[in-house]
Amino acid sequence: MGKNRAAVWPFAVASVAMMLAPSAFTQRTRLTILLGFAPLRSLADASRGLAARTWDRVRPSRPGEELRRQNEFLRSQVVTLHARNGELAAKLESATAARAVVSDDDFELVPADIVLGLDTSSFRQTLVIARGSRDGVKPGMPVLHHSHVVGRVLEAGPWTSRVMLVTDPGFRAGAVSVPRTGDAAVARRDVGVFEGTGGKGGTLKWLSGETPVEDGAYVVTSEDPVNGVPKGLILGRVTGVDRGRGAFPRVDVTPVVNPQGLEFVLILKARR
Amino acid sequence: MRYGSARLLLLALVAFAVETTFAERITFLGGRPEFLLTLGCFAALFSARPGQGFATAWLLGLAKDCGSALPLGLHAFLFLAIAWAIQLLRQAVFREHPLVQCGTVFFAALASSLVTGAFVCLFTGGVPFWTLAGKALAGALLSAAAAPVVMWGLLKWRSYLRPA
Repeated sequence: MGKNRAAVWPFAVASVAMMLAPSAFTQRTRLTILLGFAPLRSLADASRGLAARTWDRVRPSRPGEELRRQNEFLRSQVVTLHARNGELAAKLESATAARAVVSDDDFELVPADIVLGLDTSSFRQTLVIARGSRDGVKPGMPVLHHSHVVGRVLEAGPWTSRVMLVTDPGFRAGAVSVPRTGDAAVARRDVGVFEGTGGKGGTLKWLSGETPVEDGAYVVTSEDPVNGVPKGLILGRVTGVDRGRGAFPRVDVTPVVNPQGLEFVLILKARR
Repeated sequence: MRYGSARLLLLALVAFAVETTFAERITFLGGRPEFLLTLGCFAALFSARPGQGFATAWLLGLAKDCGSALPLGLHAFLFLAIAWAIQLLRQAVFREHPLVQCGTVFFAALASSLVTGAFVCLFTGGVPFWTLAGKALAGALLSAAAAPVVMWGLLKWRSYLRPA
């Protein structure tokens, strides 16, 4: 028993010391370590390609084999170019949709590939992207896909950053509900606070009881110049309204974009 | 059974990759199986001496911390506490039995999830009670269901795990 305790203490003290260390330092270290996952993926692809080429070279050739091989090589090039073209078209489409909402020239859209799409803790909803402070990424910057908010940069390492998704319990943003029908849109637009719940969605809080909110309405950001958030970016759709007995209704919001299915995101960077 | 910590930590890389890639596909009520914690329980249950179990579990927790937005050291501390509790109890249980492995991982995962959930509620933002309880319970059930299979595989593969 006493032996057990003696062996535990150094690790317990080290854990507490790490927990008390400044988050900016520890996150940067972790994000740099996670960068190791990006080359691993390309290494796996490259080794697969090398194995296929080596096999082609060592196997005995037959008449017309050379022509067939060249044909196959050119076909594979076409497929690769098609895939690249599709990827660039998707990025352009996403950037165009985001630009339609954020037309202000003070903002720049920076595309970023996703390195890790999941947090190891099921209570935090974050992902890691392949852009960091060396690309001008700073904590607090909004992260988009088309005109939808995916989240906000939580910490930026030199080459990678961690993005807090809109569903994370730490995510908060000023938001308004935009009714589906045009008539109600002019009635009243109170600004509430959108908060992630750690589940599949979030809630819109602190709207006054008279605010018209309906199922299916879009919830969009309100302008927040201090945090560099432009107005009109989509946070999600209303999936339930509970007016209850209190002064403020509880509005459940579900994001339209599933971040787990994304390959890249756009970081909204203020030029100034 | 004796195992080499370095070899178990190499397996932890695979578990980490699974937890950060495919785990979203095997979710149940928001809970996910905790493969790193299962390895931590294995490390504590089958260590040759207490110090080895603590060190391996602590390093596994640190690996989990690397992929999370929670403070560095939180999972390491939790894994260490779980390893310590297992070390106290392991004399009284038949650790090769699947039900013992299942129960150990279930309670370990439940405790770990409840503590991290409470930590998130206190320092990050409120998680609704039912979301917290559901995720903790579902995650513990999934981890417990996978535990006997994982541990059976590790025990079967003892030639790889044996210290060099």
